[in-house]
Amino acid sequence: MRIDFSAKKRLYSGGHQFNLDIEFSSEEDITVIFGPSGAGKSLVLKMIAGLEKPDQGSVKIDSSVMFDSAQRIDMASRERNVGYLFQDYALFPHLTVEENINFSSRRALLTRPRKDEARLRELLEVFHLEELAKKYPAQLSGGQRQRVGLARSLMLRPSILLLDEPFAALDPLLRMRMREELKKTQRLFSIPVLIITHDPQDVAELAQRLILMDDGIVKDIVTLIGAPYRDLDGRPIRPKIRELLLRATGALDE
Amino acid sequence: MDLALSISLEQVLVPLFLSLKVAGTATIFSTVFGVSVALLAARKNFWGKEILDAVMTLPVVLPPTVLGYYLLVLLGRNGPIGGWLQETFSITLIFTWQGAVIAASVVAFPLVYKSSRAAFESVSGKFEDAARVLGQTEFMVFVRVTLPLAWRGILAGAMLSFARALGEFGATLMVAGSLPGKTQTLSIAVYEAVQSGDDYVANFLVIITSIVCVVVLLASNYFLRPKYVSE
Repeated sequence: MRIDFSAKKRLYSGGHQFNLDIEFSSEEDITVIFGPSGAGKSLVLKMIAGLEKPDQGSVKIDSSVMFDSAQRIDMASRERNVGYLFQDYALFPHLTVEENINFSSRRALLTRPRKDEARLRELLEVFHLEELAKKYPAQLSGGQRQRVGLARSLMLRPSILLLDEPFAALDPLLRMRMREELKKTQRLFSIPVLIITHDPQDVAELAQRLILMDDGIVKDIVTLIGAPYRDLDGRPIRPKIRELLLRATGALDE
Repeated sequence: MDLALSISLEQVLVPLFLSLKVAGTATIFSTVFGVSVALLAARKNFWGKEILDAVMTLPVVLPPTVLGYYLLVLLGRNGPIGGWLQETFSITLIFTWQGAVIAASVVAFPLVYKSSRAAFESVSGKFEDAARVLGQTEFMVFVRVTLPLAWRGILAGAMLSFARALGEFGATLMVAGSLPGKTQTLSIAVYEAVQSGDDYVANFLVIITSIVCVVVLLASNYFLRPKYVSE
């Protein structure tokens, strides 16, 4: 799998102007976009999912062109088939766990839903949700909600899984566990994952390719896969990550 | 003296059923129109949106007689709408129960409009985005996500507008008059009963009206309570 992304967008809000101008590509299983809040990370994710439109640019996953301003291609969100885990999961509060996961099976009011019962059972089992299938989101714990969100986004066998600050809402212990679960999920479904986060721990534990973003632009891109972790110049990578993260968070500016 | 004996059933039931018919029909009209305008106002940005909002809310603050006068001018035989209806379909609205429905619809409209707009605005955009990513068309997003999450607010607004339509007096009197059995609704019947010193009838009608309104308000409050605990 390969994702190629480039986008320019100018935004105005409350008299302020924000310029997004970024370009990156990745072929790794887990790509992490790291940057402080307000860097424009969520915007990138939404552009991949088709929920925001770049002024200029292109979004490609493998050979499928989802957006290209030059060719006037702009696929609707519903046609892109990307998995999206929203920051607080956005589980439909009026539907049960099972109905949430199955939501994508129904496409029109009058036609019969194309139910993939086997897939539903598989997801309920993998995410330990069998007992909770008839419960509503308000009755679940934070970790359980996240599993429902993941299961729902995987139902359609998407070509990529987009995660928006997936662990921010969880307590630290649960965060560690869910990171491990995410790695397992990634391997089990062999699906490429793109995570945006402002938590350095996510970078340290998950990133195979790291994209550092700040103020609407890409500051640095590093591939972290394969031991010994060395960058293109052959220097050990961990001190470099540390330095990059510190710089990204502004600690080295002085 | 036994209260029921001094009142003929017709004196109560006829205006009661007429009121229910007028208020029920008016609620359907004001809800369909109110929900449509509310959705437009909650989801789209366009020039003059706040002016539209102000105009749509006007019936709450305008004196019902002023509203009735406007309607009379518009719907009367010489008015632009009334004249056209008269010439094209030979339909007269003034002094008919259908005229009363229009008056009640206009007066009740802001209640369902305001409540629906608030309900739509309270549905977080993330749920709609989630549905889009899960392969849903805009129509399906509305039917499966927006409407189910907003319907309690819409229903509460529809009930309030029903209560308001039931109690409508001024505009209805201007447009439809007070023809017993034809356009004399409960609230107008109360006025007529008091004017003619018919205290028993007045008391009875007042009690009936109050009970219906209290029940509607209780139901409306029930639906306004948020059902889903926020995450």
